Amino acid sequence: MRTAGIATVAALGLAACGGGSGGSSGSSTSLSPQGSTFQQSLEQQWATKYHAAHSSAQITYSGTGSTAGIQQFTSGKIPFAGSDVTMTSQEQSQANSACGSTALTIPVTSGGVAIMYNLPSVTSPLNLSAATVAGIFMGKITTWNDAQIAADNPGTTLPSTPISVYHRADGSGTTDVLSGFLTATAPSVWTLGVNKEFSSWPTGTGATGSSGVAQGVKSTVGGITYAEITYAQQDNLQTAAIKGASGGFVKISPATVAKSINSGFSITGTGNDLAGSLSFTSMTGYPISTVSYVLVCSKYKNSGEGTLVKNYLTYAVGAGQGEAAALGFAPLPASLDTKAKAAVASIS
Amino acid sequence: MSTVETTLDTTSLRASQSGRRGDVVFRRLTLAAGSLVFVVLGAIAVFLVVKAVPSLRADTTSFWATKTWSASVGSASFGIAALVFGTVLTSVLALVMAVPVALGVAIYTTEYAPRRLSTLLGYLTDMLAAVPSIVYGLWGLYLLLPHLTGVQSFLAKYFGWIPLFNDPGGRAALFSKSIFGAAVVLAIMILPIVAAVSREVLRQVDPAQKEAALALGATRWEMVRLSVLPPSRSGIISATMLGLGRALGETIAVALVIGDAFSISWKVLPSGGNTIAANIANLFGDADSIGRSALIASGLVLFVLTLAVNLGARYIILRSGTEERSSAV
Repeated sequence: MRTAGIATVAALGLAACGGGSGGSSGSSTSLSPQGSTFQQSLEQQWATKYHAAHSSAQITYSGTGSTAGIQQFTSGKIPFAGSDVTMTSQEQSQANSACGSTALTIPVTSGGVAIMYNLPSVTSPLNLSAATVAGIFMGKITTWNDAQIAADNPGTTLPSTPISVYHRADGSGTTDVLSGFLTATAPSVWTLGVNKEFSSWPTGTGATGSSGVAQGVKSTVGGITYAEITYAQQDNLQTAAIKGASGGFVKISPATVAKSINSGFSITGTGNDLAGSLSFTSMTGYPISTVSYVLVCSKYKNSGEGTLVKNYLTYAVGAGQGEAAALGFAPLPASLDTKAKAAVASIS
Repeated sequence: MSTVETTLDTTSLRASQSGRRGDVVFRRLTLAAGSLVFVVLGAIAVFLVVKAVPSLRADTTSFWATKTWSASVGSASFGIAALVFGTVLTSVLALVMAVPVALGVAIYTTEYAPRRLSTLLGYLTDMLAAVPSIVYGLWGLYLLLPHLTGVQSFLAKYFGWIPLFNDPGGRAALFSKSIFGAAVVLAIMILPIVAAVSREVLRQVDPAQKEAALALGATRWEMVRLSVLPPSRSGIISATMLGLGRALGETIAVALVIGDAFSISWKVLPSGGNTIAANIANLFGDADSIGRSALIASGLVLFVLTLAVNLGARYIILRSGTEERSSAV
């Protein structure tokens, strides 16, 4: 039943394209990857641009979350997944058997998690150190004129407005990155550990999605939250300069995120597997930065599908990197991008 | 018209052979349709129980008393307490707000409004019922909640002595995603269904009874009170329960407007609160195998809760029905 459905879709796809690619048997024209919502807007932009250049190729990325992406990929249901986290060894072996070849983890983009707030009376961007951010999100700092915030911002007049914290209610890679950063840099204040979601937030209001938390902050004078930078731009929210373990207060920008990935990301995989780990304490740029990956098979059972995945990702880690900055992402640093290109080239 | 029906009846009776076979086939068809309800309901129950068991086994804390939700492979500690509390409280508050208005709409459209306006009002109420819940959620989040701060501070200021509206932190004047906000959105969502069903119930009242009341010199209000509302009572309760069922299970609209706090607090104005359905909507996407199973376990609780509410409603209707009959005699 399932195979029949897929075959029909493939046939329709081929018919619609009218033999644009010469119609070699087994060639795929459509892919439906899914996973990370973090990279969703970028994937969709890539898919649109790729379709414009190769009208026969239709790539539909669904932002179902990294966990769902990994589940679907390791059970062989999707050609590739987007993920903010690397696979566990168990997931890796499941993926290997689903692929019939080694599954690879390849970084495709990087980005920062912005701390955004709504404080109209303060016009210059605020400085917040890691311990202050932890104190705010742990409910230990409750007003904007708290001594700790004042210490980060000498010379700035701060209002006594109460702080309204907004955090994600759903599981999110941004929560994972923020909690990872706070665990690494302010472990004595941030005691919740690292996770994609917490039901035990000591303060604040939960909201669904990055748009939800941004909307909460926009509606509340004194509100603060964390989300991708695009949401701050859409809702005209200010973003704070953050001080991590190395370096001073840094504003979020593609350049400062790239600097942090250069200094804080190290590859732990071997060969073309570029899975890596982040060290928030050694990031010298904007310190709440992360990379986002795609999970692919090194050799696809259906060679047509493999070719399309390879061609699409070649574009993504090549010319596609130029799309990143406009959407609030940071292009991969040159050294990492070279490795990513080589890894993509090995897909067959 | 009536003569045509009579002739049809006699001809179909005369064609006894084929008629009887048709009767059997039709009876079996309706029987199949009827039993399908049982099959579907049973299948849902079995599915929920089977899928819920692994997480309940893995849960290291009490499922009933724990207020947090941390369900993933290896460290499962989750409980339904805060979620059930929030689900019931939002729904009951929504009913308290919606039912009087819905009843007013129903009485106005059936007894007071001119015929044309009544038809128009009927259409409009039905259209409200057809608005997708995500639209109610977005409307609530972006338009209603920011404008609800005035009402919140009014309630906190003048009705703060009621524990529900108590606001010691002084946060009621701020934009808040609260039990109260969710209840208002839910009230608006269930208003059309309660109004529409009540309206149909009120329409069924025998006009002779109404005319009798008016003939005895009753005012229109007295007529409504004496001869329209009493016979409609069980129907109105049914309508209310239908609304309650919808409120209990409402998912995405509540997920958007509630504060997602896993705590039990009677203070409905400050941000906070969570419901079973909203929690499922929020966490399902990123849940692993134990996480999904835990959410399905909470779904099972909601399933039983709605079932209990419906049975309770049946019981009330049954009892009030017999009371009416005995009082009529």
